Amino acid sequence: MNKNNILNEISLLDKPYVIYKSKKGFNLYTNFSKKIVLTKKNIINFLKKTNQKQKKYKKTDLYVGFFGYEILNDLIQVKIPKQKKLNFPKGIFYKPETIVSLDEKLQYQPQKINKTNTKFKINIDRKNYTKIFNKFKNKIKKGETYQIKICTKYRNKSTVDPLDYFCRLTKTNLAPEAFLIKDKNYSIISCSPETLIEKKGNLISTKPIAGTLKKNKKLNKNKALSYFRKNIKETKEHNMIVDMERNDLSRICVPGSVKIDKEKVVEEYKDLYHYVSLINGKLKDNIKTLDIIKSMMPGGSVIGCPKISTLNLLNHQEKEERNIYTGSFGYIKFNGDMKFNIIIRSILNYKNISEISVASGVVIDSNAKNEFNENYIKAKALIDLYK
Amino acid sequence: MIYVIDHKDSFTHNVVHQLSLFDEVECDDFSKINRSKLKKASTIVFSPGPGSPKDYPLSSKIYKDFKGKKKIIGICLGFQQILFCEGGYITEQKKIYHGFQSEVLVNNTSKLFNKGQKFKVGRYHSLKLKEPFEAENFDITMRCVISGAAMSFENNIDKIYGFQFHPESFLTINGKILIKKILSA
Repeated sequence: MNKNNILNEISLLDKPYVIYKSKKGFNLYTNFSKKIVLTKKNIINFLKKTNQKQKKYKKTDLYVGFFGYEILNDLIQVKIPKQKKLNFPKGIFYKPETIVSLDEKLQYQPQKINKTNTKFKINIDRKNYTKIFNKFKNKIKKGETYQIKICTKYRNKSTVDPLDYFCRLTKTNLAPEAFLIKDKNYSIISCSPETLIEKKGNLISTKPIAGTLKKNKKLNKNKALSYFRKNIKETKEHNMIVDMERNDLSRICVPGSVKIDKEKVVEEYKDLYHYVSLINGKLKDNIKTLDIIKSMMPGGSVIGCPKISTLNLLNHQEKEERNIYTGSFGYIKFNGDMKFNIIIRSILNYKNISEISVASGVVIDSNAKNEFNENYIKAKALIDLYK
Repeated sequence: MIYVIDHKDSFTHNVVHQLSLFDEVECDDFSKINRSKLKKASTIVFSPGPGSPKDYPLSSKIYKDFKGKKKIIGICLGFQQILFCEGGYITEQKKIYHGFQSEVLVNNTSKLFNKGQKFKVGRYHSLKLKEPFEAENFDITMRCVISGAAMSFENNIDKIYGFQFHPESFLTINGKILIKKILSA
């Protein structure tokens, strides 16, 4: 394949591929020799395949793909009552035979397709959102949860050229965990900013985001930092996530090794600032891939705290399944090294329906109107792609 | 050995790591308690957790069974659990503290800490102890500098201790020292 023209070529070939942000640009994974559709029954065996000890590893000795929200609940034995379902798979991983590194500027000439996109509809209107919001505020007063993230969905009927959408998205928002999955019957287009797990050898880290500020001309990185520091609500939410992530790492790490490497710093992206922390630890000797996934997923910063009671509250409230939303995408190497993000700010296109899920946090001092509007801001960059 | 009873909290393993600096620690879910570990333990710790003490009758029973026989420590919900078992009322508070750093002040009833000493601590609690509260041999030894809410108690006769705040939080400065003091008391 010609590297300059590779995206045009691959879009014509009609075979599945994955594109995932790397440090310098992107990696393209393709020529899949295996596709594993995860179920409650096969997931444990699948994860066992990634604890192999062999002398030499090839670059392609890995699986790339995602865990949906439901299977992550299954793994930690949290039940989800009956919900409205799309019947989309609970998780899919691919074994690539080819990996090509691509430049940060993706080159692609979109094919012409007839747009028949309908207008996006939201599944919970403001009135209902406020009702749910107040119900959870009460739960916070009773101590049943300290922070909870309610999911709302935007949906339309659409045929999309995922590669075109992804390329346009990376031009306006080059997110550190951006990815695209294009398979025959579905696609996922994501500009996720959040790394959940990075594991190399016995070192593991997580980088939660709590706090987002939209850029404007008056702002700079220092001003953004002082905004976050002065904002007690953002600070408290962030603190909670830091302690929760320290906890999740502590389950699998050597006592005393879990450290906050960067505490509440600002990272700058194309149109926004994020308030992030970096926490790392040294894994205990006998820890397997399954232990890591169970301990860290679903990522706490997009669920709320404490994780188990909050998941139970969410699952009983939400009438529609989350599908990929707040699951994790990434890769696991055969030697157990891995990198996973949290699936947020993503489009799932399946059976010609596009679904964009967003959530914002209810804490004791948040307000329903602001959070409802924040949800729309989060979805807007993705909805705008359909224009 | 320290046995931590986990009330399914997202901070319990921070507690476990902090305690591990001083002794061997075992930790189990409150609904899957292992009696032989419980018997073997020199110290029982009731973890933080969601909800209120009345939601955890199994933990209350453990407290009543082992009071006076082993050292018992409660953190956040665990603190409330012990006070609840001692006849205290746990109520909602007007201002709620989640992920909040505040100052607590040691008063003259403390045997472990110096009167007038202040600590910066991390707090995660919706509920608090309703006062006045009285129970034999129990003293409220630290209070929030601003609200006056009970933040720590000591029962040096039966070796029972508790913090309403989270000594294991990164928001608590010198949390390790606080834990060390009650473990060596």
